[in-house]
Amino acid sequence: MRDREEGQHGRGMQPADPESLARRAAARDEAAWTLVFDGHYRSVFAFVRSRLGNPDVAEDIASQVFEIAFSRADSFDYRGVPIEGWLIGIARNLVRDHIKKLVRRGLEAELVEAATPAEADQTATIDLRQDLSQAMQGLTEDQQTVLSLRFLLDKSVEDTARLMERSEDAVKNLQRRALSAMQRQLVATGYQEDG
Amino acid sequence: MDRIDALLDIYLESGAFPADATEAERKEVEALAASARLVRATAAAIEAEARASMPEARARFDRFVVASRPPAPPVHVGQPRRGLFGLRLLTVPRALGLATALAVLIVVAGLTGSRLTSGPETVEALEVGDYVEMPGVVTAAEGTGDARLITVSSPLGDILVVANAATSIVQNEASAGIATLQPGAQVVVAGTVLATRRIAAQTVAVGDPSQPATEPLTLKRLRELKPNLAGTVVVLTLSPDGARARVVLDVPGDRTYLVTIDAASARALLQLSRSLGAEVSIARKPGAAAGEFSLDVPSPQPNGTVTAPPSAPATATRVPQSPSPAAQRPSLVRVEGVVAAINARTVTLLTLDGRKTVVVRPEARILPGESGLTAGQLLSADALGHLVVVRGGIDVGTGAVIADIVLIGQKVERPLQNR
Repeated sequence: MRDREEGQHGRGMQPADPESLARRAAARDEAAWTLVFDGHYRSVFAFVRSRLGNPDVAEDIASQVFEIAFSRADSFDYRGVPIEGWLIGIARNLVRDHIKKLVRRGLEAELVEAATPAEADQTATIDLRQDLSQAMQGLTEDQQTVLSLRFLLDKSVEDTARLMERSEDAVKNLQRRALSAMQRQLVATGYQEDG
Repeated sequence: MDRIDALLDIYLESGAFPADATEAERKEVEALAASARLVRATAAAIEAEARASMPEARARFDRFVVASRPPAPPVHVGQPRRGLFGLRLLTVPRALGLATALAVLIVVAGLTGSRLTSGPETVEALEVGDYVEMPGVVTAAEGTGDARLITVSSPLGDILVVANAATSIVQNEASAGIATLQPGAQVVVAGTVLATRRIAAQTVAVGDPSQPATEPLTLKRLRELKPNLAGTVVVLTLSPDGARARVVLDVPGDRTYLVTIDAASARALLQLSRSLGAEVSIARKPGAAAGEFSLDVPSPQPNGTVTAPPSAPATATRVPQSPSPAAQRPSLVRVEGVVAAINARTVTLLTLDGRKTVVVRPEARILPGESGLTAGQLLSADALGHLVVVRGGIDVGTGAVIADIVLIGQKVERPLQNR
């Protein structure tokens, strides 16, 4: 509801210092964790949600991400990966574990977007989400990750490379292969953009 | 790097191709970019889900953090040795130790300048999960991007206020930037109480930028009605289901009370454009639950002024003659109108000033009152034609009113007409 970029240099506002925040988070400073949660929850949720078909499960896993991060705060090396990368890394592991559990139980269908429309969705968006959710299942984990980071979380190639701990060229290549695979999957599921 | 990788990257960033791109390359890249557009098209819906789930997730994380605190170290009380001279020799140093500890506590309290009023009434005033409207002055702000942690000196002591992209900042009934939340800024915070004296802000109304810190008040819970009890509403809280409400009432020449009020009184108070600062008198209805009171609230007038409550004592000292601090205090946005259309969480109201768009937050408190509707029916066709009062902020992007509180009224035969 507000411009994301605004107001970072207000009088009296403490300077944006990710390393200082990370250092405080590593020391389990509760105020710092409030900022970490509010600054990153929506990204973590969106990342998880793009991989799973159920918003309640996504909320649960996104919540677990912060609980695990807080519990392991003292092992976080703030001089290396940024906090967001650390959180996304935890989210990737939790999603991977969750998917493995579903597969073991033969419940892969739960990975696909549920048919019940969410309250705020328009019907066309729901159809699209179901088709994309179905198509996502045919992609590798890295391909899903790069699509989520680049096009859902709107991360730059540079940020995506940092979060995935890869080179920018590798991300560009992975992005192309992911989009190509997505295109094939959508065609295979009979998706048409106009319909 | 692969040629197509590079062209795709350029096209995604700029929407254009380099002049040397062939037709076949352009076709291939455009098809890939179409898939990217499809993924992007779902982002808004996922973002909406993320925002909707955030309050519950935040409350869960808050509980987790509180539960993770290390337990207080056990207090070890050594047994004094008793001996021929031991009693005398050890008792004196122990007494000295206690006195020293007490002195240290006093000094530490003084040095830290603690402004927390953590008495049971203050704690009770801020119950986790409650909606709260509270005035104060920003004394510190930190953070960047979407998330800010603001320390607000308030009548309930220092409170940490969490603001993020979903928080609406308003100033003079228009949206304002988060940079206005600077030390010294007078504010009214509306949001949800989190654990550990924190509030997740939904709307922050900002006023005068150079105010001194607010002095904390000491609260006493009102248990029995006192004659002619009237004062100023300082803080207002509302339970998640709207069934329970409390006000902090500052009574001139007396003290500050924490008063549990009935739902009808809360509703009457929330109808006002400035609930905080309203001069009210306390009454008690026959058959009311123990410790629950009702308020005589001034009625809103067409010109925006208010009349004194009918049972308020006629003492000139109680009603300020000059513009009261409440009149200068920033206020939330208030809109009143008839529901004309509903689309998901967006409600169109017909108001005296024309059509207004209202977006109902997932965490908004919806009070159906005597409307005959349930809270859930606000966003259904059943609400069409009902009069509603909305309190909250303004979306900086669309100018829509963001509803923190929605009071549903009766269905009206005809839409509001300009008088």
